[in-house]
Amino acid sequence: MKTVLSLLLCLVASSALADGKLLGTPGASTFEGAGGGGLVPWATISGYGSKTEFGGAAFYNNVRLADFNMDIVGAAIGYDNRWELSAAHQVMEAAANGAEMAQTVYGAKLRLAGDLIFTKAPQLSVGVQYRDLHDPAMGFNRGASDDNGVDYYLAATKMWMNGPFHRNLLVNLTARATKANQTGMLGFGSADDSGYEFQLETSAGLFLNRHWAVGFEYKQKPDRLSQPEDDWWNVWAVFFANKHVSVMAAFADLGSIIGSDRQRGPYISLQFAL
Amino acid sequence: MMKLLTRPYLTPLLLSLLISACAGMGNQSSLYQQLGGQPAIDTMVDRLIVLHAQTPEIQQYFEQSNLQRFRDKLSEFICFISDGPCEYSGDSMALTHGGMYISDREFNTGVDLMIQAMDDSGISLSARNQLLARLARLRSDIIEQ
Repeated sequence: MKTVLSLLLCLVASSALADGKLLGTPGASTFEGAGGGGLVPWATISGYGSKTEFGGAAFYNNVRLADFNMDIVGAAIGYDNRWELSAAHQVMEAAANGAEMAQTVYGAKLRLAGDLIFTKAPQLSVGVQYRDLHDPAMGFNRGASDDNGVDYYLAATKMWMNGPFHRNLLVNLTARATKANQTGMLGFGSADDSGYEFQLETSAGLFLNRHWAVGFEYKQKPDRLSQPEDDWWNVWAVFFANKHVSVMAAFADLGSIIGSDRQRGPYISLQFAL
Repeated sequence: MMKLLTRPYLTPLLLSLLISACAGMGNQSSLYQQLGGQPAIDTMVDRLIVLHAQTPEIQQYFEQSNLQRFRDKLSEFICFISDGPCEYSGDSMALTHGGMYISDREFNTGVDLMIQAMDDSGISLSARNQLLARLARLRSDIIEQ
């Protein structure tokens, strides 16, 4: 985590600022660190670096639910508009008793083919995420069988410059193989089912102008512990001030979390990019 | 069909659909008109030339070129590609950009400047995106040649 942040600082310090992508096209930083929307990783590579350039993003996200508060810090580095390495540290705290669930997610993404805007076919990337849960007791008590896990995903993302209302339209579809319960916050697998489950995730967004975009996301999740978990969704608006600063504000519905139903509320994300 | 039309609520529905479809056709002006015609295109091209001159990584490609010819041919090309009353008499995109080895980054910078030029010339967002979508198809003729 610290290594990633200091690498990013080196990038800031170096004079050659990458701005080889169009404003807004690298997207935001997901709660897992990978470039994408708020919840769903896209095929895009974080930061504004194009071919042979470095780019990157550092972010702070906060999700304020009825009974929980979630803080996330993280960073991602992109190279050659092909590779992305990311890390995110997530802490979810129960408002009632201060109980914490915390994990670190390390991710790598590789763009396989296509260009978000300029090819007919969508941009296609594969990603892997290693999740390390810090205190697995809460997950184990509810039937989880492991305190770390690896996710694999395939993401396809496409932007049409002349979409509905002659606005830029972005559509993303991500297929994920995962063992994570509550994205890893409650461990991985369960006593009687430790195999991978395939889940679909989707995002769509419309650029109202160069700086503002609005959209929604939906993220399917497994449900195999003693207390139920739900699919997640959000509606979002993002403001790209320039190629370095963006703010996303969303309303997120994270469903039921360890017995507390209807966990929904504001989701804020601040991103600094290069 | 006749049986359908005898249903009282369907006839007005079909009629209104027909009318709105025709009204829609009447409103469809060409992209050339939406851009603001030749005066707006000329303003945009002039602005683009200024922005190119202010951007070293783009300016390097214009050091040897005839700016007056660039201005005339680009104006003509945008008129032509936006369904305006022009025939493009210049060289193909592949020929004009051949041997320049324009990089991904330079291409995107060029698009950024094009957007800026359109914005500065008061061209609407909707006309801008339509033109960009048409120009975007030419990318493979321009980049890394």
